[in-house]
This record gives sequence, structure tokens and C-alpha cells, in this order.
Amino acid sequence: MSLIEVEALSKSYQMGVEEVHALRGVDLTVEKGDYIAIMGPSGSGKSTLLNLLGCLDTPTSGRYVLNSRDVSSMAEDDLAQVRNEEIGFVFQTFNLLARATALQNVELPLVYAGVGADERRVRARQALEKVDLLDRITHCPNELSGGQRQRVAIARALVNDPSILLADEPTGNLDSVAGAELLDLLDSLHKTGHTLFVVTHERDVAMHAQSIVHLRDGQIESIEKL
Amino acid sequence: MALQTLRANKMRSALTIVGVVIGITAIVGMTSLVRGFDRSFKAVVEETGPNTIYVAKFSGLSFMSGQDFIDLIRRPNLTPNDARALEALDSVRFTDTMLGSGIGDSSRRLSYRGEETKRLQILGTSELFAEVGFLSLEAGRFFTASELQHRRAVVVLGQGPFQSLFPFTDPIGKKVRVAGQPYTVIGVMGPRPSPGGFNVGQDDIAVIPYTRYESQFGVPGFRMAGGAHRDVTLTVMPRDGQRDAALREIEEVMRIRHGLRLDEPNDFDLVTQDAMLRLWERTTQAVFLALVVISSIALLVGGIGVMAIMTMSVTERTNEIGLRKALGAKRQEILWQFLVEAGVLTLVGGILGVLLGSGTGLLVHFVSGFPISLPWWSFALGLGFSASVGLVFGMAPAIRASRLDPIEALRHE
Repeated sequence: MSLIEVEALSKSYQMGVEEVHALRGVDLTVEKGDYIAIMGPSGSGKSTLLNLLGCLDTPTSGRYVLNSRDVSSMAEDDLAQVRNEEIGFVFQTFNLLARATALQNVELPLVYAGVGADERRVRARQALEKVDLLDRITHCPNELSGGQRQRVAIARALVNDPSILLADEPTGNLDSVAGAELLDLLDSLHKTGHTLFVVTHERDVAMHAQSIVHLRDGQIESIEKL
Repeated sequence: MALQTLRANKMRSALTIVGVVIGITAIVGMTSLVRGFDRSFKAVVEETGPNTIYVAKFSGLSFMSGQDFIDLIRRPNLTPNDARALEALDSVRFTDTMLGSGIGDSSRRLSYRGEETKRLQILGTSELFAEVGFLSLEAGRFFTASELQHRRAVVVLGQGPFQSLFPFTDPIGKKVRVAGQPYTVIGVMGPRPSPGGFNVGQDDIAVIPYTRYESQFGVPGFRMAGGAHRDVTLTVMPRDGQRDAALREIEEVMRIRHGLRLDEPNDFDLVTQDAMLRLWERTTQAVFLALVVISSIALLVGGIGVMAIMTMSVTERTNEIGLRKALGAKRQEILWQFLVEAGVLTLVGGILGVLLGSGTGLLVHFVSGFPISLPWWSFALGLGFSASVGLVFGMAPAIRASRLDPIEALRHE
């Protein structure tokens, strides 16, 4: 059985009187260890697909099986648990708690997983070690560079050992040097067996993946193998 | 987690709890003062002994029951003959007659060798006054039945006139003038208790035989609204264990003496210690109720402050809430985070309030000697109240936070 099985996934919103079909029947199968880039013009359904894959939202119709669990019609709190256990998010704007240290930021998912304080600290340190930031664990985000902040965010995404990593324009707020470093880090994560999704509109970024899913008008236009 | 956020927003946290601090300060401070006053007042009342019965034309009791002052003035006056009639009762041990104890004109001066006191209260009583539990003698003796009968010009000084007339000499046997007339000092009373420990002139007093009082001053009183008020109080000591019988008999006798028909209410007051305490209890309960209402308003204002700031905080931290949800926070965990924040915030306010309130009480105590009482339950009450304010008023914002849609919240900047 594949890690992710998506069948005829659709999502529509009510915008005033108009019904917007953001996603119209997406089929996708992803194996463990895959590295997938999602591209498409704005309004193509990138964000919607990402939200559904990240279990932040449920589809209007269709099926989404993640790690042999059907999550397509789960209740809010169950989804929260799935997010906590299965998904690591990396955001364009980092979304770190401004007044917490790097270590505390990385510990956060473990807090919601119910892990005790001592074990939290150990595992958060290990995660920060993976992104090479052990010397910055007591720094707050405003004392870190953009590249370092995004690495803290990746450590936070990894700390609870999720099945998939979802990165939404991870290099969008970084300069080219930091962006290149970050992509190297993602490559190395891929090599150590992590399953990665990267949403981007930059082809250079997408080229790091194994395959690129091209979306248009809420449907998969093509899947480009690299 | 919640604590981190609070610490990081010190200024805002401080402003949020000001209202709560004020409310709790009011509760604890006022409780300490009211309770302290209550205790010392009770001590004063208890000084008179549980069995003593006062028969008076009117008293605080009739005021409290809402009777018109004019009607009270028009009641028949009590007389020394009433005292004799009461003394004849089986259940009564003795009756003391007291003139000048009330609101009549009884303020006169004492003088000794050209030294004059301020105006003070002259009481005319029987020789039994010392026994009804009003006073302890510091020096000398009280006057006797024979001195009373013969209208002897003898006087027992309170601490006030004693200290101002005889700062260095022994007063016993000295001649003083009471409102111009010569009297011999035969005794000095000790200091008397007073409500709140205040000097309310409780020691500015001199006691003479009431027979003497009557011949020198007449029966004190005043004319008003067609009634001539005479200020006579009878203090009845029942025989041991016969207080209730005495109360019944006194009432009967007084009704007969005043010619009251069966359907007419008493036109005199019987005052006992427990009646006074009951009256006082009612008064303090009213004060406490007022206190609770005022503090509740303060806490309400504090609570609304908490609600406003928490609502602001939720809006401002929408993005954070979205992130926490994305990382796996369940509704309840977000709810608790905000509730705990609000609760801790107001609890800190409560602790400050308890400290400030007891501080205020202690300050008042040390500056003015006003008695205070700081019961542990008023601290517990203060802390409990403050934490509940946070939980109750933090509830709505916390619920709102817990229901935010993670996608919307993450998009919020």
C-alpha cells in the first residue's frame, strides 16, 4: 500500500452566491521517500491541495488515505492529531513564535503530542542538530538570519518524526544563498528517506524534486518525471 | 506555555489586572476593617453582661424598626417610680436608675482649684451602677445606698476629668465643683472600652447619685414637637436564671403602668445584650452586603478589562493560534491555553490585591489604632474570586480562539 492515496479529490467553496471549485477530481499516489514539487499558476488549486494533503481541511468529495488511514472525513480534533503525528509543515513566512527560543519552538509539536519536558528537550536538540543549529538553540527568532529561521522551522517539522514534510514556498522569503542552502538541506532530508512535498512557482526550486505535479484550474495537468 | 506569553507582555498584563487588583484590595481591606470593628463593638456590648435588661423610653432598636422620632418623643417618660415598681418583681434582683445617659442636656463642666474640664457627661445613677457591669474602679469606692438616699454631694470621676484635674495629686477626698456646686471625690473609674478603640469620650464622664442629680439639675430632657422628653434609663438585673421571666414581668408591669390596651404596642423599649447584638448583626450584614456589591462591581469592571484584553490578544495572535493548530493543538488545548493565561493573570492580580488590602488594613491599624481582623478566609475568597474572574471573563475569547479555522488563522498577519 502506498503512503498517500488520493482519489477524485474535490473541494468547492461558497463565495457569496457563487460556488468556487478549487479542486476538481485530483488523483495522486505517493510512495514513501518520494520528493514531489507542486507547481501551477495562482488560482490553480495549489494551496487547496496543500491544505488537504496537510489535513488542515477536508475535501468536499473524494478520498484521501494517508499512511493507511482515511482522513477525508475526520473530525477537527482527530485531524489535529493526524497533523501532529504525520505531517511536518514548513511555511514561507517561517511562523516561529517570536518570543520563544529556537529550542522552545522546536519542542512545540511535542507539547501537543503529550511528550514529557525532558524528552522534549532531548528530541528538540536532536532535530536542531540535523539542521546544524545546535549553537543557536537559546536564540530567539529575531536573533537568527532568515536561513537559520527556516532551518529552525524544518527542525520543528521533523521533530515528531512525521510521514510527510509539506513545504509551502520554503525559499520565498530567503535570499539566493540561503535559498540554495535550504534546498540542499531538503535534498539531504530526501536522501535520508523523508517524504517531501514542495509547493513553489520557481522552476529552479521544483527541479530538486523527483517529479513535478502541474496543476491548472483545479486539476492535474501533467506529472513531469525528472 | 501560557506563562511565557504573559511574561513577554508585561505591560499589557499589568494593565489588564489593575481592575482586579482594585476589586480584591477593596474586598480584603474592607473585610479586615469591618470585621475588626465588628469584633471590638461586640466586646463593648458584651461588657454589659448577658443578663442585663435596659428599660428605656426608646433606643436604637426602635429607630431600626423604622418608627418615627416624633412618636418616640411622645412616649411617656420613665420615672424613678417605675424603677421601684420593677424592683418589687420576684424575678428582679435590683434596678438601677440612670439619668443623663442619653441625648438630653447633660454636658457640664467640673472644676478644681480654678482648673476646669471640658464639657463632659454627668450621669446620675443609683448605688447599683457599679454592679451592672459598667465600670471598674481604679481608686476609692462607689457611693452607697445611704448616700443616694440622703442626696450626698459625692462624685466618682471618669478617666477624663481625673487626668485633667488631678494629674499629680490623689483626688480622693478632694472637693471639686460639678456645674458650680461642691462635691467630694470618692472614687475614680478605670478606662472604659469603646467601639473601634476610638476615643469617643467614653472616659469623659462623672457619676453622682441620681437623687442629687435630680435636685441639682432636675430630670434631664428637652421639649420637642409637643412632647417633653425625660432622659431616664432603668437597668434591671434579674435574679440568676430568671432573665426571660424578668423580661416578661417587666413588660407586663410597664404596660399596666402606662395603661396600654391589649391591642396597643409597647411604648417603651426593652434592650438586652442579645437584642443589641442581633441589631448589630443586621447592621454589619448590611454593610457586608454593600461591600460585596461594591467589590462585585469593581471585579466586574476588572473582568471586562480582562475580556477586552484577551479578545485583543486572540486577534493579535491569530497567526500563532493557526500555527499551534497546524502543529496538532486540539480545540481544548487552545481553549485551556487562553483560560490559563487569563486565570493566572487575574490570580496574580488577586495576590497583589490581597497584599495591598491587608497592607491597607495594617496601615490603618498602625496609624489610627483602628482594630482590624485579617481572617484567612478573606484571602482565600480574594484569590478564589480573582481566579474566577479570569476564567469567567476569559471564557468567551478563549472559545473564540479555540474555534478559529487553522487555514484562515495561518493566513492572518
